[in-house]
Amino acid sequence: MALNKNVYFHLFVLVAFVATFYYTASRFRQGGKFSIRKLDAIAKMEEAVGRATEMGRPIHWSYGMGAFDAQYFAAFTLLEYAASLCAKYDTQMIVSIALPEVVPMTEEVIRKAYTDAGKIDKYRPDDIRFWGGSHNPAMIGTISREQVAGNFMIGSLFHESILGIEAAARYNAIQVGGTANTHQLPFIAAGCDAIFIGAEMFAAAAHLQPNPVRVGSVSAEDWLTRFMIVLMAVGAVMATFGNSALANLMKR
Amino acid sequence: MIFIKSKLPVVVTFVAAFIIVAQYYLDIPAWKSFAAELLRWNVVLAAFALALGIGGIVRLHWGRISRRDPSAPYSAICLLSLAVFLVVGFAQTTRGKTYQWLWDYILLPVQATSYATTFFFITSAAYRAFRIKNSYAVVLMVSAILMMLRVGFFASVMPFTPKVAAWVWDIPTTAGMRAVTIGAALSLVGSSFRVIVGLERGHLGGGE
Amino acid sequence: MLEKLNNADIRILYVLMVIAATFPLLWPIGLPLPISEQVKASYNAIETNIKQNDLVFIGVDFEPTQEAELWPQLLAVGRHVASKGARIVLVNMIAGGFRYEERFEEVLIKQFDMKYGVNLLALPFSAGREAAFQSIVADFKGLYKVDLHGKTLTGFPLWNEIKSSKDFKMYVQIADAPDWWLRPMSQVKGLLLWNGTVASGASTMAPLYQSGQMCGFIIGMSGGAEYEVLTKRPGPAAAAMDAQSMGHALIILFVILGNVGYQMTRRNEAKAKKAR
Repeated sequence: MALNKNVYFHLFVLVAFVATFYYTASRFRQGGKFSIRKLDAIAKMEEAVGRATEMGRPIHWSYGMGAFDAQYFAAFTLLEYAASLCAKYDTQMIVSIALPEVVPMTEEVIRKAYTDAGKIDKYRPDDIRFWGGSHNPAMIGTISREQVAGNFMIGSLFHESILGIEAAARYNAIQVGGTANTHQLPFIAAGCDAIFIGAEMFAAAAHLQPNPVRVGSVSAEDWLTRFMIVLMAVGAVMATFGNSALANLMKR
Repeated sequence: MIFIKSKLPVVVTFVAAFIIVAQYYLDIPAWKSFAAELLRWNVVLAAFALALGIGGIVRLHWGRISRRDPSAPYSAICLLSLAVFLVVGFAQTTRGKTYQWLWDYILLPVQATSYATTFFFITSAAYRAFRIKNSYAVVLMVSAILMMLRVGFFASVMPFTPKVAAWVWDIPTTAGMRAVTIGAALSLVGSSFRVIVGLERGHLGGGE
Repeated sequence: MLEKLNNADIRILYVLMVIAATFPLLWPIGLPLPISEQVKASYNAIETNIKQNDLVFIGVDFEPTQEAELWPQLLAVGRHVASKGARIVLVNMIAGGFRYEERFEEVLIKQFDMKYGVNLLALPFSAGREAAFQSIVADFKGLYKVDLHGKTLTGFPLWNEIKSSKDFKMYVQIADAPDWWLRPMSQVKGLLLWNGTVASGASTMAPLYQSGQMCGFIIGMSGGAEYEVLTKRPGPAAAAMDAQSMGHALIILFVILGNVGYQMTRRNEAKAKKAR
């Protein structure tokens, strides 16, 4: 097999991840226990929907303007959760979208949530709004006109995070943010009531709907993280004594 | 119909992703060249996705106009602007003088102004959020102020601030960001793997 | 009285910020602008690594929303690269960036007497972001057939001299979004990576610069201003630094006043609670 000589370590990590994933998924399937720490942001989402229902004001959702990547898949799970809460309590949910390819997937996710709640007649496709490049002013306008009671900004966020957060703060909306884009973490940490930091967004899916697939994935990620920590600790000690063998091994 | 809606996308995703991922690990020229071709197809697909977006915008705003919503005049302006850009763009391409005029004197100032609102929102965010409520808030506030003091005029009157800010930047901030990046990257691997092998189908309306 | 600072009308703050930012733009103060070590190191990365006739990619990947921060960077850094006699290929992966690519091409032709097609090429927008970069890595010449102006690339001597992305010495990326370009481009062996980004993107790129994956890295308008001063061509960024400094000063003042109001409010609430 003509393997690329420069990515042996990457291949090892990938194989280790896949193996760990299938092992932990099968253990969970056989009745294994699994616990994930409490994520405040999920409870905050429920609180926000409850408050929106009481006040008769809508919930606003935005994925941000970032390119389509795996963060959107994590966001779809959380969107389904938020949409199911909104369907359950008959609360309007307005979604602002910047990327065109996300629109049909968003429609599917929300339609499924309403169908599962038995309220497909309450599903409003017009509340799923594609804005493209004018996402930011449109989002601010939507939040201000509708005076949203809850604002969820979960996905690949860029500078629009602070815009949405401040716009919603004017109306004392409960805000939940989540992104793996590290450059926006300070803004959502400062402005939101609860946040998902990076990997928490992905773990939230396993928390909401634990099943062998999601649990296996989160467990495998966890084990890989532990392995990385050990590598970093060992590598740091070795590098301190001038030995770069581990660093060179990882470059292979 | 079920096959087209839920099974076919999974098959296409797996095949395409497998080709792209495998070409990274394999050293087979024919495979690499086929993967390169697939990536070029993706570039074309991404361009067509923009057309999908145009359909979405027209649907939304036309609906408002036909329902005579209060915001219908703004929707009309939006659709008119879209039509003008499309017509001029097709007629002249992006190199045409009219297109460039529209871009430079209408679109560019509007987009720059939209971003400039960040200037105000950052002010209100800083005023609202940087309060000494607990130790985390103090750290956030001090770090933010240090970062503002490390550039421009302040760096010249307080020469120690760039050094302190550089230390805060290079050591604790970068270390924390590196940790978040590694955690998020591993989660991205997991999430992508689930989508690629068809174990995650929430975006297709099918759960997993 | 001081408790009112805790909940001041935000519109007053906005008006003061507008005055603080506008005043220096109309009547420049000329505040000093020291150069940071990071910008100096980034300048030296180009100064020492780029030689006459070296092939350099310059990625013009920003939209009008980031013009204030990234256009001055592009001008300053791009001029530096051109002054070293490099052969430049402009690329664009963000839909809104093509006008900046055109404008920058005009700057290079007028100010550095560059000959289009001989030592300068501008390539058109390619959709797909990371996928487009992967295409550059996998098959650069296969990705593009025409240039930014619609002319067939095979008619240009520079295009015919290039075999693949491996022929390039450096990739200078001026972009807002951080790492979707670096992941694919770091696969090209021997290609040096240099980045200018917006202030908010800095924390994402800093670990990559620290680990040596990038040889140069400047941040925001201040980075552009310092680079302009280093290249002895003060431009729009340096001119706007007065406004930025005034804006920062006012934000710091608001934070202090807000905290004074907040502490006074808390003290009064504690007193009232004690009295009950």
